[in-house]
Amino acid sequence: MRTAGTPMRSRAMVRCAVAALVCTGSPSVVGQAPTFTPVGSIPGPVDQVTVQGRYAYLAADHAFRIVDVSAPDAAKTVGAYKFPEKIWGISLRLPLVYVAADFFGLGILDVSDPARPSLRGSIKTPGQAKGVALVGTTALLTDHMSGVDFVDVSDVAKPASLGSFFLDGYARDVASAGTRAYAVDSPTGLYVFDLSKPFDLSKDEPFQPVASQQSVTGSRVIDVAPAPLPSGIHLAVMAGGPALQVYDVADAKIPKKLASFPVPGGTQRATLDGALAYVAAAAEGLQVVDLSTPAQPRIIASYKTPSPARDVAVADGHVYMVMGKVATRYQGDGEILVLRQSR
Amino acid sequence: MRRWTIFACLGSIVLGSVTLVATEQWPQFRGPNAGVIPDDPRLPDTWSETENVVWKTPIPGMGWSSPIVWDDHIIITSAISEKREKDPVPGLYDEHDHIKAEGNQRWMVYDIDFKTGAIRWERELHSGYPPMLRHIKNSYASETAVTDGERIYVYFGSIGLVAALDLKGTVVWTQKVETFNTSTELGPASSPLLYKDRLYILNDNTKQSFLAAYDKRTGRQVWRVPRANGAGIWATPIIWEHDRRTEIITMGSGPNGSVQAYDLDGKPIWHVTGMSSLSIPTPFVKGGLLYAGSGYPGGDLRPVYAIRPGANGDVSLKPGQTSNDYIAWSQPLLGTYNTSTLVYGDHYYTLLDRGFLLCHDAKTGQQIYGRKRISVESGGFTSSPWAYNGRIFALSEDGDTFVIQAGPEFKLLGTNRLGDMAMASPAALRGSLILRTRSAIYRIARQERR
Repeated sequence: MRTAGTPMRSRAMVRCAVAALVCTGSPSVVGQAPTFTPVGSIPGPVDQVTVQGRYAYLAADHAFRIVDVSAPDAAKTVGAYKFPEKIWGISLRLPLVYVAADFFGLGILDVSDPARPSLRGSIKTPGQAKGVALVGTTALLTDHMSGVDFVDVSDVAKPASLGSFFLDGYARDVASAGTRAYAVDSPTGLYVFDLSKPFDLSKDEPFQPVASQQSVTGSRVIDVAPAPLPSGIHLAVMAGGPALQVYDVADAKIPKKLASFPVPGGTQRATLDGALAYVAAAAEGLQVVDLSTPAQPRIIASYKTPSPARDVAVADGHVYMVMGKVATRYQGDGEILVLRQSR
Repeated sequence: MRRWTIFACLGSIVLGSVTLVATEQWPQFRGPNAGVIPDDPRLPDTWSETENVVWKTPIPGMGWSSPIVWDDHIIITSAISEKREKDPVPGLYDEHDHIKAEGNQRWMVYDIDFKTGAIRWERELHSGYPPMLRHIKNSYASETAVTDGERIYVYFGSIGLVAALDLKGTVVWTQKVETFNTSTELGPASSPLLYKDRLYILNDNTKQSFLAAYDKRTGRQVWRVPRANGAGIWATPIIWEHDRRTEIITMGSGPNGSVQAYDLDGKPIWHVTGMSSLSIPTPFVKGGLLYAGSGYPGGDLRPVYAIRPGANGDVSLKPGQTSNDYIAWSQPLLGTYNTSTLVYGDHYYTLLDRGFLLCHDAKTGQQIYGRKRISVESGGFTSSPWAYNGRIFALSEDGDTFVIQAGPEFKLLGTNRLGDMAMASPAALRGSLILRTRSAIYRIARQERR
């Protein structure tokens, strides 16, 4: 899952950079392909997972849960919070967790005390809030009715709507990197927003994207690397269809499609870790796609999970695979298999 | 009654020359002129729960059928549950959609007095547990009735019942048709079509879609033809009379689904292939062109076609084409999801479900103005827009009617709030607007200030 959080991505980037320096100068994938060993599990229900530091943040329908994974073979639930609506997306800026919670809208949880997550603020968006990302003090939410909603969260107790940009299709997901945000709608759109400049709220729709493309197939979820690879390519991947869509978003105004890479089992969700894309590939479990030559992706490792994979997070040498029924609707099931990653 | 019949016939003859005479009857979904009402200074521009309301009558149960009006009879349908049903949720969304009934239902027809709002009679046509799921926003009484001024014809697709009643509420005949659900079990909504001596029922479903004709006097099935135009169709069929022939126009769903024309005996005449995966808006004819479109927001095929009369066979666009001998113009992404569109004056207005209005030249398809957000406060829209007195009216699911200046420049003139969910399309005639919300029906007209 892309919401693994910037710190984790940063660590990944550090690892990649070190590898590049020590080894060949190649962006990230050097040496052996990763291998995976199951080391533990986290009981469900669970639909999505995000991991940062010693905690995993789980969503299952209305329930948000914090699990201590400092000992991945003995994960332990430490706190929980129940939203009135289904959780579709999570973005971490610890100690705050931003939650896109369907008709409830945006909920901001304070997890300073993981045992007692508390709601610090919330704001209703017009329809179903499906995804959330943060750029500075602005939260961006994908919403079926309004498209992308922009919310000022400088005062977390009083989030304030700034406006929205309408997407033609159903707005599904949004991710951010630096001052940019990237939204996808179903069936086909990718939109890039540059929030480096002040908003002009006097305009009807001030949040015009700097780029939009209508040729992205299977664009249900998106993950964007926190920074470009040493090659200058800034990776973004989209999942939700049979193929992993690979983009270079280094030039915000002209996102370049680098590849549409069919993945065995399809792509439920995907997360980037350096130049590797970890794909939850339904019946085919985990598929690891090497994007160090992004125009020519290749699968370098896989792990057949005991049941279909629908989400994945990567942190500190471990891979967290959410397994459960793969259906258009969440079935209230799911569990997490924790894999130790070795190279 | 006969006087009005003659008047209506005259009106339909004059329609070809675009001149509109006063609308005195409203016999079908969207009325005699696809939502356009002749100018009438008595018709209201502003209203609220307390302003310009001649009467308000609560209606039991739930039904999204639109009101039809003949003389003093306002006809609507409803399904009354023995238990509390889940409330419909406005907007566009997923995962909250199909539900089963909480309890047994009674399928009802209501006649409301135009003058007073009193329920003149109510008739239960069936009771029992619905055999199918429905979308949480759909109802078991979403099909709009139709009338010829002598009888009222109703169709409840959720139980496969067609019936004719006289204006006193006496059931003249009933006919059972099979009960089929639509794609993804969202429940039916396509309304019956009445033309001359026949009543036409369109039922596109996941098992065996069909178009059927019934003798309106007896209910006897005259013919029935199978269809293969997809199962995601809620659009109401229409009649297209032009100088070459009279056609029944139906919509299709999906890339292989077609706008399909039949003759009055069910023989296919022509089709245009390539529709949205879900097809809800009802087509209409205006100024010699047939306008047909559909636009599920989650799909990449959301076309609108403006079609000339006289086609035969497959007149679909070829790759790269936007028009041909029979398609005057097309737009690949202009189709609406729930709302039907509107031609008023020279302009084709598109009310997108999520609160935007667009305006195109009705004859050429050229854009006059692009997407204009009606109001940041507006919710979703399912009711189809209507127009009179130089104004476009757009009723949101929140029960707010936005009044917009007609013409080449978008301008919001005002908002009329009723505070109750609304999805039916109003009737407007004789200086009054007949507007149905979730729980009530209103007659709204300009009132002298006292």
